Amino acid sequence: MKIGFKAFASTTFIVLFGWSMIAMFDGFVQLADAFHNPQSSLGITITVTPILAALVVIGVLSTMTFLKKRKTHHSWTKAFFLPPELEEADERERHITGEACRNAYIAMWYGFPLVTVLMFVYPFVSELIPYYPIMVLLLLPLIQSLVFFISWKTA
Amino acid sequence: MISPMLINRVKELRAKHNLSQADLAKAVGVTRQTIAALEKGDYVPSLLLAMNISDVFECRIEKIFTREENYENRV
Repeated sequence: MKIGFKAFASTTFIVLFGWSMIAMFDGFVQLADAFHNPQSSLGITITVTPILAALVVIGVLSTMTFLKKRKTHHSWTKAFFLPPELEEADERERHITGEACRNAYIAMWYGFPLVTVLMFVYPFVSELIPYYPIMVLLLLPLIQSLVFFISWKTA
Repeated sequence: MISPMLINRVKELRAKHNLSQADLAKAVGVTRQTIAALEKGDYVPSLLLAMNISDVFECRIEKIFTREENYENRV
């Protein structure tokens, strides 16, 4: 599997996961409102499109990856739990992965203060974008995976 | 990943033995890209890989991999 496809798949995972979490968040906001106002009905409305899209796309990509990895790994747990990014064919690729992981770790130390500072904006945008914390939280894995893939590509 | 301290004769010996990059890669258990990177000097192989390459060429490691002549002066 090409590194470009892995990067695309990982970014798609994160974006779709974020989209479906936003839909879930909206549902939980309605649920909290219902608990705070006992007079209102307990019914909530959740948009299922993002959740279904995430389940279908992530399901298909995961199955494809799992079946491909199952050919190279005897253990199904390894094939299931090991991220496809960490599939190295030889010692040079292991070396590149090591360097990319190092850079992703460094990115975490720059990324988490950035993400924390971005949370300061939330009180100003909470009315307009109530799901802002989800977007900000998902920025961290997005930054780390982008740094990982760029490091891999430029190695 | 660039190491200016190590030079190698892999490309020359591979041509001498009439081997393609893919053939050598298969013989030593790495990818063709690794052999290409090694020949360009972009990758320094592990001792084990160097030994495997020396086995294929039936040649001593130091005949294939050598340090740059001015290495001692630079360290």
